[in-house]
Amino acid sequence: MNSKTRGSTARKAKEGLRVTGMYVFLVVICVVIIYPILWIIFSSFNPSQSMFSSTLIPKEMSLSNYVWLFTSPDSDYLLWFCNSMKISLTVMVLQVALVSFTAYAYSRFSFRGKKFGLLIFMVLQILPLTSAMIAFYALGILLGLVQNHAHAYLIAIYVGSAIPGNTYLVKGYLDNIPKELDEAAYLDGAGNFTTFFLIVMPLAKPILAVQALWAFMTPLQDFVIAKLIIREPELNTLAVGLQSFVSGSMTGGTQMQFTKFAAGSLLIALPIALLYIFLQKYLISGLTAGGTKG
Amino acid sequence: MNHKKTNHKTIATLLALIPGFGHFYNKQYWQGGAILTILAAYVCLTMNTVVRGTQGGGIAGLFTLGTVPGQDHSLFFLVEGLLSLFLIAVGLGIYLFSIYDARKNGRRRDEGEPLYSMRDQYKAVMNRGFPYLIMAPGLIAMTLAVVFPIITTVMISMTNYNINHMPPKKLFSWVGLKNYADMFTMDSWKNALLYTLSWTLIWTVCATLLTIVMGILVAVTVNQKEIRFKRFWRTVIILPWAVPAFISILMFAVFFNDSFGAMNQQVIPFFDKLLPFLNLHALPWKTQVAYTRLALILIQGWLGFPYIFVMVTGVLQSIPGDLYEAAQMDGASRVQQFRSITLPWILSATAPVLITQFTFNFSNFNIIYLFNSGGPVIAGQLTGGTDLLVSWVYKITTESVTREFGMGAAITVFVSLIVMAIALTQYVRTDAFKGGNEQ
Repeated sequence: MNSKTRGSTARKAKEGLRVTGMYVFLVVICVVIIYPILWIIFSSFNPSQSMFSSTLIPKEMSLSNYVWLFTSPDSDYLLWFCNSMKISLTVMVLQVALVSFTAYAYSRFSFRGKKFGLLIFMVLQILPLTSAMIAFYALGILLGLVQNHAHAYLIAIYVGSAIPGNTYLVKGYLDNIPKELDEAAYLDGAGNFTTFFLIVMPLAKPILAVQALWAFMTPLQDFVIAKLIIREPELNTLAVGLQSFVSGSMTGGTQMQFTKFAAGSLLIALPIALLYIFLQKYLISGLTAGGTKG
Repeated sequence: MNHKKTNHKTIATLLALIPGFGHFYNKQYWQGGAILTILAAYVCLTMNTVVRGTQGGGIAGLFTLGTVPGQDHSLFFLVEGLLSLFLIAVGLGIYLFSIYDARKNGRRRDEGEPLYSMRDQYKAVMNRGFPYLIMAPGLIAMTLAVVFPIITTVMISMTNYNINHMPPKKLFSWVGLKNYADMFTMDSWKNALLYTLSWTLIWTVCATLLTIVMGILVAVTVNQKEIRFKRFWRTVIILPWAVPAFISILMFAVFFNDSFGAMNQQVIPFFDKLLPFLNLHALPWKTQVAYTRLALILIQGWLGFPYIFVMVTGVLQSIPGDLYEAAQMDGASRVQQFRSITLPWILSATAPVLITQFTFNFSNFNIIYLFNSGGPVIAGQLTGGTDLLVSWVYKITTESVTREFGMGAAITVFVSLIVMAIALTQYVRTDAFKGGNEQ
């Protein structure tokens, strides 16, 4: 009896130690995540240009950086913001439409060249976008796109390069929607388009939401291709514009404006982060349904 | 079935050599007219580009790459030549299809079967052709944005396009596989390539493993039933994924700044006070290769693990609980349960995504370029201390005085082949690919 209780206390102590250990681990992880984020948040309220600060919270705090972004005649922030929104929204609409069409074809029809097509998609999805940079540049100049239609060209590159990989994801999701539904619709006399829009697409909403989010994010995230294609400062996207605040920091040249960068970045990171947190459930289901089934 | 010996097939085929006439012969006037109009319009529209060229030399430009230095731009000749080749192929495709169709209809007449009307053919296109029809916009966008540029890159890799052959002042020309040979035989290239390749491999393995291990470990921890406030932990952990990566990377670029970054100003002094016996002091994060590499791997872990975390969390919820109950009955310890149930389940469900993580990091340009531009610089070396193959290519083509487009393209092709080989062999092995292929 006695030894039994002692054994169970020992087990309880071990159990408590295990749980405590797990909490300590999680707290450490969270501190590592939050510290740099807090640092950039507080930096954005730091009115001085100088970055020397031995404490996380600066001695003075003000909104001067935010005010500067929106009111200073030297600031192009709103312009960058509009450019980025224009590109992101267009990419979102086009990509969701094209990808869902292509995925529908691959999921529901058998046709000549299907296997070969899937293989090509697989290969293209693996290749990094950077592998075609020289060609993007040359082709863009040759066709006058870089000079005259930089934004349209960027949109075409984003949408086109997103098709192979995302077709795979959406196809994987559509494969899980029972085909009997389509067949019932056909029996009722629905055509291909009707079946697609009224039967399949409504059931594919979660993956389409994930698609839309990613399509919206790609242009906001991309720095490399945009930097390559965009020549005029007034066409800059947020990524290219914000980078200009902190570029040249090492070599002297332009003065590093980290506090302005911090303010400008937070303004776009905040809505995006909130969106991710709200869509958590969808993101998880979209990822696990499409992402893991190929 | 057929009594009268006719030879409509041969006649229709021969006549179809003149676009549309095969169909006229088969009394398919609408179809014939349509083919004739489409092909005529196509030729009119593309003729100028293909034969004379607008900024290059049309199809001939592909072979010459320009003849007059200072006036002809070799790159435009190359791209326009490729474009012409593509246009010709499409035109030829339409033309051959019209002959094939006329021949098929001729045979149907020989066999006394009725011919398709325009309405029948429209219906056939809407039914059998439906998948092609709805894929067409996507495929065209993909061809322009991905396939065509890749072919151009392969072509450039077989030219001597560099600072000494810089259009429009000078011409560049075809050199065959010389760039590929130089890459492995010329000392300066070979050393830089080996240096970059070895760091690229170390980086890929370390950064990806850190991401995956952390992602799985944290997901499994949060998912333990004793852990409370799950929503809170998940929300915090998702943050690095939710912030656009380029912002986080630029933030870390300043965070790790040698003189005023928070790492040297705040974090290290804090730990120095806490644990004075370790004698910690500011570290040269941006100026010494080893420290820059360490910082990069840590940052990539920070950036990448929430994505794995989110995915593994989803997978964990799909593991049937009775598996664990059965294991507990058999007296399996927690570690044993993790090793023989949880881990295999996670790995098999997420294998394709994990492989994608490797290929992604292999050519993870953003973090290298934005953090320290591939630096610190190494004296006497063509490549930076933390340059990956992709960022090195970017450097030698755009930034340095070498402007080695030809060599850059050759390295790009080489890198792409490696990435493809790794990914394809792994993909094919995974169940997900087999499952996806059955459809």
